[in-house]
Amino acid sequence: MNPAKIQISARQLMLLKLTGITGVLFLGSIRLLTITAGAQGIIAIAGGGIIGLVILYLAVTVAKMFPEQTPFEFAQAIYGRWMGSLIALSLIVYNLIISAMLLRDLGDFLITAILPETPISANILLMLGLVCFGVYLGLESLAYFNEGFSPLIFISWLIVIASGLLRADFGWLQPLFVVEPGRLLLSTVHSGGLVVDGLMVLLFYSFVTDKHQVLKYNAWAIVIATIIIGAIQIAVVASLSPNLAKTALYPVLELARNAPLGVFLERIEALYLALWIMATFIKISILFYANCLGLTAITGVANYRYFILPLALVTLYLSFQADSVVQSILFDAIFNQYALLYDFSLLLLLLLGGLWVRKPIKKRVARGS
Amino acid sequence: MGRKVTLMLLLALLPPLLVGCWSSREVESMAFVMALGVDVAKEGVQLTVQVALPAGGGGGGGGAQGGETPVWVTGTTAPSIAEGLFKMPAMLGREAFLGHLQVVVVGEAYALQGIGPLIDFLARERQVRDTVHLAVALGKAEDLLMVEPKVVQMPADYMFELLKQGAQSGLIPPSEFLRTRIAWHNRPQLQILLPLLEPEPNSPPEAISLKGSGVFVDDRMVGTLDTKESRGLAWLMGTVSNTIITIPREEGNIIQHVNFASVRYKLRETDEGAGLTAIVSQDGNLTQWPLQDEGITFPLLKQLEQDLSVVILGEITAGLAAIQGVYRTDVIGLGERLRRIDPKQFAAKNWDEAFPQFALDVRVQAAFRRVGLILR
Repeated sequence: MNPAKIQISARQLMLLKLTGITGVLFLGSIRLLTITAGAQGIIAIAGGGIIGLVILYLAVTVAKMFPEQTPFEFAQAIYGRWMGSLIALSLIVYNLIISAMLLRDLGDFLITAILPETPISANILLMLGLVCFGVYLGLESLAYFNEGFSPLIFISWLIVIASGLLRADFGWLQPLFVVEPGRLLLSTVHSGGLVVDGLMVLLFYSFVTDKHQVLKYNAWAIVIATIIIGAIQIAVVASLSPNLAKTALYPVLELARNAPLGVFLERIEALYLALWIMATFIKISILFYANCLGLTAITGVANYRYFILPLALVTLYLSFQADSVVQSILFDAIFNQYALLYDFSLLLLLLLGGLWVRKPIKKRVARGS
Repeated sequence: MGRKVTLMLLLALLPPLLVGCWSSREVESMAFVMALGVDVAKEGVQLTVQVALPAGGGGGGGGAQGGETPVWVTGTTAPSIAEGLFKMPAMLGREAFLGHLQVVVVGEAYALQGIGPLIDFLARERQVRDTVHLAVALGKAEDLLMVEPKVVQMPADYMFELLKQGAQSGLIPPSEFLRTRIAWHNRPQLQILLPLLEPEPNSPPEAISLKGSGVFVDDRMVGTLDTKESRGLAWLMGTVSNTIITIPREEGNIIQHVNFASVRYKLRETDEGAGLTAIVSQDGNLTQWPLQDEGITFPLLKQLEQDLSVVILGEITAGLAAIQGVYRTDVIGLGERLRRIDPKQFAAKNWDEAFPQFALDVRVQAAFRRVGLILR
């Protein structure tokens, strides 16, 4: 299978990004934002959105320099085989950690909130199996699959937010703009990491047919995702109170459980959860697929599918590193503090390197040689 | 591509259902607990459960038929709530399922001892929802669960509706468990306030009376409020939406059916520092007019609105006197209101100490919007 033949549209990439951001909000992101910024999480989320847009712009700028290559390939083109491979490997490890944490979070969520007697290993293995299958089918299938699913995910959030806001006491958001700067900054970093979503645009830019639309569409994805995250955070805080929301392991689940649709349709959170679990599947699959491409670029092996199983085993191993849900939360919090720093550093490294490498080429072109 | 996507859809949707088998529970193996009672026992707690019986006697154990009550009330004692529920299968022959739990009642002695362990258990237990209603029984919770209402078959439904409508009337405070959790996590500027219930003294008891509110400091009930004081506080919480107010007059009582009430708070400076002004607005329908020979005129109605305000103010004053003067606990969240409006002033106070002296100015704007279908 030649990845070069794979093509998706900018709109599909936007939807993948949107699903990647919003589909996993039920796990721990809102809790993390609420713990750090409390009722003022919305400020951090807005800040995170701006950071997300800046990083998107950087990512598109970098990707435009090498429009037909994945970052794994052009890292080698810029920095040479060994150094470039090391940079590519760092991106693979980064994605791998996100995948493993998501898998673990999902497993923890399922055994805590829905399936208490099911071993976490069964949940993780099943999801991993599905992910392997999704990656085997390829990016285009995942993109089409997601195209059908993302409107449902979007609608589920609208319902949860609307019904949550109906029961909200907005007084809990007062006083406005009173938050410790350090905590606000930390929360903004968390939020920024959330909307950047593992450098999705950088990873898949080369597969997009209408590349000139990528920046516009994905900027919209970030804006929409920021609005959704902000609205969810407001609904959570205003309906539970900031102090209660901070204690909840899954505040979004509490919101969905306490927010009946109208006054007649209760206990419909299972429907939302089914959609959000699917979204988690899509997000992990996409990251997995990117990792397979990365290993293909580093090793020179022609078919990315050879790497599905080895990567699955590594992810499985990593997902069992936390002893308990408490340690899992701790890992999430630590990783989220540094994720954005990595995103930014990598982009800067590639941007500067790209400019350095392209300068002599431009000069040569100008000289006509 | 279409086939691939369909295949992915099928594989993505169906296998997740498989792992559910691990946690599957057959309906026949579950006892649906509709109401839970918690009392103090020598061993620790006495749990009383009201379990729904399967209709038509299916699944063994008899069933609800004809005039028979559709529930079975039974119980056990244990050192803790969790242990008590763990013991239930041995007694019920089925696993106690709390997913349909509607009402939790705590006995007076348990409320005096402290409901902290119950709050922790209910919040931690995944089957229980925050929409469950929580109330205190005057006496034992077990007695309340024994009530066999005539209006509806399921006693838990009766209690659920009673608590809902009681809260609208203001005679008891709202009882959703979420409110208790919110108060629990926002102490001391908002303390727990729970409805008080008591079975009517019939034998067997067929109805439950609303007895006002149980006032808490942290997780311990420290006293009770009667229905008048409870409604006084309900005006300040803005929870009244359907109640009756009587204006006593020499000619006879004038009655208003309230169908709207709200409250808003404003900051005001006093000699002792920050204070609040509560502006209570309400309106409703005139439902009884004893002045048969006198038509309803605009000036007269305005006079009656003044009288109505005085009645409401009386209720509010009584409620405030009880919580500020007697129990010294902020169950209506005045501290929380102050925190929202002026966080610096709030932070400067030790709220437990400041609350009893806290200056609340109350203004009532009462109105008769409609007078029924006749003017005289």
